[in-house]
Amino acid sequence: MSLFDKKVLIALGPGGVGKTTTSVALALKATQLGKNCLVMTIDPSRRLASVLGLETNTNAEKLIIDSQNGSGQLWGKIIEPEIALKEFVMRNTQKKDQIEKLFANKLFDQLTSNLKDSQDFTSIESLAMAVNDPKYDIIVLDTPPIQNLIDFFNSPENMYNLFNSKLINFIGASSDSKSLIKRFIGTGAKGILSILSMVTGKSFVEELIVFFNCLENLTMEIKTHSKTINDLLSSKNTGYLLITEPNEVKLQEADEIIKILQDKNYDLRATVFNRSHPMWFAQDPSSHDKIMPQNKPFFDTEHSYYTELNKNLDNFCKQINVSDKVIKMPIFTNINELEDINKMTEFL
Amino acid sequence: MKIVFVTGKGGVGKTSFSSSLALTKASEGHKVLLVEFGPKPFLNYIFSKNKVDKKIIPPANLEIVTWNYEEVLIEFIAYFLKVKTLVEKFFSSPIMKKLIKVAPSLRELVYLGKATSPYRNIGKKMDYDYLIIDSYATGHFLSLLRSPAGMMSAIKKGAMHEQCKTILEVMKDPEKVSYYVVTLPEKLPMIETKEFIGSLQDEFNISPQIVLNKIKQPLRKNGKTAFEQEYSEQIGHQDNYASKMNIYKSFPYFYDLKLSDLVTSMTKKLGDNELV
Repeated sequence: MSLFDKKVLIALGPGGVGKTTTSVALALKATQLGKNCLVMTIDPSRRLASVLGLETNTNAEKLIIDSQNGSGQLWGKIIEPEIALKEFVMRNTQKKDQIEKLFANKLFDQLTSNLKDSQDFTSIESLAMAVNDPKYDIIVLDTPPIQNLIDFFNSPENMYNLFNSKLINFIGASSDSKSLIKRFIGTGAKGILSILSMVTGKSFVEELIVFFNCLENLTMEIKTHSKTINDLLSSKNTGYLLITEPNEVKLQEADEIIKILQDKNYDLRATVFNRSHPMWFAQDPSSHDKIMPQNKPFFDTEHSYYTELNKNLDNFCKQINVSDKVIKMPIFTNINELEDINKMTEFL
Repeated sequence: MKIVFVTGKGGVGKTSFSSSLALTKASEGHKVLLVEFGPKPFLNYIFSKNKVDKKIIPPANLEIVTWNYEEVLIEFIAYFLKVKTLVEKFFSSPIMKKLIKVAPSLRELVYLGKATSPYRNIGKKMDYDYLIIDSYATGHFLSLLRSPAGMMSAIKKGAMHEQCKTILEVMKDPEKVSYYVVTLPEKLPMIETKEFIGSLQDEFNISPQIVLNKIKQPLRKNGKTAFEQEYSEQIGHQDNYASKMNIYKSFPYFYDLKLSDLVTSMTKKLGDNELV
């Protein structure tokens, strides 16, 4: 079975291992096989965005390479959590006046610009939107650096819970924050709110109540949506790709990710080990004899280092007992253009 | 007392440098607290209180801690409320639990609040000469720094506003806080570091120190084999990048497979000169 017989490929892995670059390489490979492919990423370095010819602050999909000589189209999208979260709210409620009020709330502003919380959610949400687009044969999702994979998979659920928050039920809905506070005081929530007020100040609590009040009044129809997302993540048409590096820490993190995927019965299609070795390490060793004697110590150091590193890597692969495809990616330095990323595709 | 934040792109050696700096300062006789942000601990790859594997046993004047968001928040609230039953009531409330999870940028504020607390005379006493914080990677680090100003513009008055104001004052004071950015002598990381430092200077008037890591020595002679060609190409312009920036400290590429060994190598190199 090929990597590319899935409709959705989700790239997971610890931070700083070249996940985004590998995701783009994967998408390029798919287009070489004649498929139309969309690669989505979140919070890439500005530099990488420009390599892809993508602009930030739009949340729109863009054609990067058109189909030619039997290859497919390559589409790219940079997910903007701020825009994506607002679009999500607008899609899911009819109450336009409440939307305006929510968007004007200063804490909503803070929520959307707060990286971690909204990144996980908007990544999955954007995937769910794109998967219905018949334009694409394959969608590659480059996920944000995973601090907690369980939290990542649960992020839609957590966000829906926030939007379905029954917090305001304690006090009854009202749009006037001052009377809200008063009513709060008269209920079971009294103690909590007055404590919070003591610590943070009254205006914070007022703003918070307005925030939750706005959410409550949205009455979004998202319960069924939650199931759709879970179905998508566990679908037969969805595959996972683990991207990591063969060092002590990243292997340990990879191990944790693999266990969670196995636990959830999600389909791990391949594990990519970036920066496994330099090119020469995998090539014909006969040329090593011709190395200048002055340079020999450099060679010996590097050779024994990468030998040991790969021994650890092989042990790891045996230990985790994944029959899944293992890809050992050599070291590429100076990836500056799409062409450079193209070099990675022959290893996929 | 000095607060030190260490940041840098993912995978450049933030944790190694933070640990080496902490060990060096401790070896000079200072009392040091080495901090990482939770939930996942990484410093346990390097340090262990008992003799295991090849891990480093920290000296008595070096304490290592993982700050967990909820724990630090509880500590903070407890400091203000003083009454234990009130604190318990506060955190056992399901409303509060939900609130804490979703309250915008509260996590960032809690970490910064704790880090700056010795200078703001609040909270539990932290009696250290150095507070070294192995912090978030560059992108997330900016949103960490932006959180107090963000909250101040959302909440114009009250305790929250005042807390944020003093946090920001301390963070911007070079006498109290210093910043290290770890980077690699490669084109892309260098460009990104430059952009990041630009943001730090423009938005916060903070000038960080640059630490250049994983520098390879050039070959003695030019050669034609695959190894010699690739090696030379790999390190190609690294001198160039280094010379364009004001580098505070450079480290060679350590061929250590174990993180604890790497930290030992790095600490040796760091020595005891001209620090912080």
